[in-house]
Amino acid sequence: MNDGDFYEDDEPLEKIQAIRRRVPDFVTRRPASRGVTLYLGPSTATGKWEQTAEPVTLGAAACP
Amino acid sequence: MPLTKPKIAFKIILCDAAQADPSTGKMHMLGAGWTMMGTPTSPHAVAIMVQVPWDRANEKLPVRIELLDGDGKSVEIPGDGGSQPIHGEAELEVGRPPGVAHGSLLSAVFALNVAPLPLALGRYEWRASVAGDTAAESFQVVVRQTG
Repeated sequence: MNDGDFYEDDEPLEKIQAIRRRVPDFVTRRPASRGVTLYLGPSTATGKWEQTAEPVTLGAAACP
Repeated sequence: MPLTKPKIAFKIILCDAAQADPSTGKMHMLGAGWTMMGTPTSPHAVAIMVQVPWDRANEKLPVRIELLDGDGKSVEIPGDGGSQPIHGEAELEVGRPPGVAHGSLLSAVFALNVAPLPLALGRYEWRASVAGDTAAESFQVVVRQTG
């Protein structure tokens, strides 16, 4: 919680309502990841085997 | 008394290709269940299907997959810049969907698609570790059939 999450009773009604109706920030901001797909192969740039989130070019570089 | 976390159960399936669906926790696979392959290997995938205990929801679960040889040593592939171990790493995290019964197992999936590997003949295994719990699936590299 932040300092702005608290209010006194004598504060303006609009400010109190804004705080009380604010969308809570304690929910997980980053959605849970139930599935991860990775691609492992030789990078066309460096030749090193790297894992990427996108399909790699498969083929000759891995098979000297 | 020390607190112990519930063990995470998971299955490893070797297949030709796999794609994990993050929204449903399903795995889409092609050509699953092989145990032998020629060399260089075909493009293939390691599919891991995890059953996360209710108590371990909303926890980041590190996943690591590694290719080991028949002696249990890490396989290293020669490449630019020297030999490299073949492994993949990711992180899974499962939430508790509304309406799911308390205590239910929650599914999560991880797919590692691997480019062709120039492996010597012999026995190998893909060993996976999910938050410290391990399992392995072995396969054999055999002489490629021709004709």
